[in-house]
Amino acid sequence: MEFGPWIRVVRERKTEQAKQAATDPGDLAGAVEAPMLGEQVVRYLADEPDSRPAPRVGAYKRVVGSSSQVEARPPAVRSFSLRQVAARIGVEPSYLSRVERGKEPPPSEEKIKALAVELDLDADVLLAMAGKVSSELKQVIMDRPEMFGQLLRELRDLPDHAVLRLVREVRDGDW
Amino acid sequence: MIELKKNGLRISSPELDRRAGFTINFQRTLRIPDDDNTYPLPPGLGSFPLRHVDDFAERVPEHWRRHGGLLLPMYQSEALWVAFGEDAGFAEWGDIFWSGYGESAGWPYAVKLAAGKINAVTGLPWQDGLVGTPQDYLVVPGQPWLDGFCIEKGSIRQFVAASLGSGATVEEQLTGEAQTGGLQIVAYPMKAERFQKILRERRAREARVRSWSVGSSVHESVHEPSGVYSVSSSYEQGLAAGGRMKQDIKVDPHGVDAWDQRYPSRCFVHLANSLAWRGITDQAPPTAPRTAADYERAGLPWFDYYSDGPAVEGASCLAGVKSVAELDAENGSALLPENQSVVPGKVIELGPGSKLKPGQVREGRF
Repeated sequence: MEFGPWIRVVRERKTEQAKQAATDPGDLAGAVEAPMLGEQVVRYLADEPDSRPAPRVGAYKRVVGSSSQVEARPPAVRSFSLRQVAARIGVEPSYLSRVERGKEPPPSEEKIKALAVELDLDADVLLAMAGKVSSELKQVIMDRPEMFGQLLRELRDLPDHAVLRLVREVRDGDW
Repeated sequence: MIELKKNGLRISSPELDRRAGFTINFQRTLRIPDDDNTYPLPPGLGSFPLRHVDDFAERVPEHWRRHGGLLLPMYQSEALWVAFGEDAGFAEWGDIFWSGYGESAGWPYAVKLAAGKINAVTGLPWQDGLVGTPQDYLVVPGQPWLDGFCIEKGSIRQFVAASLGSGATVEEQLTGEAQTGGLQIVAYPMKAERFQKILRERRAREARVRSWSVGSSVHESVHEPSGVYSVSSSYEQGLAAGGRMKQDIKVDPHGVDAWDQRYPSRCFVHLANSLAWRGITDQAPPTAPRTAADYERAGLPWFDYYSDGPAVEGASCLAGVKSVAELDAENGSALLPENQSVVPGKVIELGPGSKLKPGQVREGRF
C-alpha cells in the first residue's frame, strides 16, 4: 500500500480501537493502551517427569499498564481524527488530508517519525514506505560505505529467519 | 553479557550455557508517602526507557562515557522499582517470575544492585564479587523485584530520585561525597554443575504443578510531561530513601559457592533528570508520575507479596539514612512534594506464601 493511504488506514483503525476500549465498562485499561490483567488458572499433572519441559511457574504481574490509567475520572478517549493527529504532529489538517489521499508527497523525515510514534508504527518501515531512509541509518552507511555496502548486498537475499541475530552488548566501562 | 531489548536488560552467559539468562527492567511506579506507615507494594506503570550512553556519546558528560552503560530518565523525586523476569528468548519481557509452587526453569543468577556504588541490600560500598555473610546480593528466580534500600528485615525504603549534590542520596549520606550517582548492577550465573544437579533432582520428583499465567503486555507511550515535579539544576541523579514498604529480600538457599564468578555481567545505569534526558536524546521523557493519592482515588490496587523462605536482615547503616521527608523537615526544603498519607483500599495478594487464592483482593491495612 502507498504511504498516504496507509496512514489513513492506521488512523481509522486506531479510532475504532479507541471507541471500543472506551465502551467497555469493566475494563480499567482505558483508550488504546495496555490491556488489563487477565488471569487463567491451569492445573495439571506431569505424569512422566521427562515427558514435557519443566513448566514455567508463576508469572505474576504487578504491572497495571500505563500511567495514563491513573485518572480520577475514567480516562479520556485519545482521538485519532485527522484534525487531532495533524495537530499533534504539527501540520495543518488540510495538508495531512492531501498526504493521505496521495495528493502530496510524504512529509519530512521528522514528521514521518512523529507519525510513527503517534500511530504506533515502526519508523524505519514507515520511512521506507515514504521512499526514505532515516538520516541516522544513512550516516551509519556513509561512515563505512564499503563495509556496509558489502554487508547489505550479502544479506539482501537472505530470508528474515536466516539472518543471524546481531548482538549489541551494553558496554561496561570503568567505574 | 548484557543486551538492551525493549527497554529491558537481557542478561546471558554464553560462555557458560546458551540457556542461561534472565531479564531486568526498571518500572515506573507511584512514590509511596514517606510517613510513619509501612506501605504495601505499589504497581508497575510501565518500563522506564533505556538508551545506550554510546548512542549519545557527544552529548553526555565525559565520565558517563567512561562508565559506559545506559541512561534512564527520572523526574526528581520520582520512584522506581527493579523487576526481574525470565528470559524467554525473544518473547515480550512482560512476565515477572518468582519460584513458587514447583520451581521456575530459569537458570539462577545472583544479582548485586547498588545506588551510587552503595549496595542496596547491605549499605556497604561497592565491591566486585559476592559476599555471603552478610548476603549482599539477591537471587533470581526467587526475588521477583526490589523496590528500595533494605533497612530492616521485611522493610525497605523506596528508591526515589534525588539530584546528586542535594545531600539526599544514600551515597552522599553514607560516604559524605556526591561522586557516583546512578544505579550499578552485576549478575553472576549459577555454576553449571550446580544447576544441572538441581535439574536432576527436580526431574526425579513427581511434579504436581499449579501455574498461573497473568497475560498482558505493557505498552509504553511518550507524552508531553506535566505535573508538580520540580527540576533541579544538576542533571545527574542518584537514589535517595523514600517511604517505607513491606518487602523481603530472600536468603540465598544455595550459598555463595554456588555462583560462577568468572563471568560477571556488569553495567552502570545513569539517571538523567527530565531536562537532561530531553537535551541528550531529543525525546520527551514519559509523563510525570501520578501520586499515590490519585491512584487510590482511581480505585486501583496495591500488592502484597508473601514469599516462602527466610529473609535477610536489613542493614543498620541503611536504617540510619535519613529519608527525603526527614531531610525536608530538617532543612525546610521541598524535595518531596505531595506527600500526604494514603490508605490503600484494595490490595492484591501474590506469592507462594499467600493464604488467599491467587489474585484475591483483600482490604488494605497497614
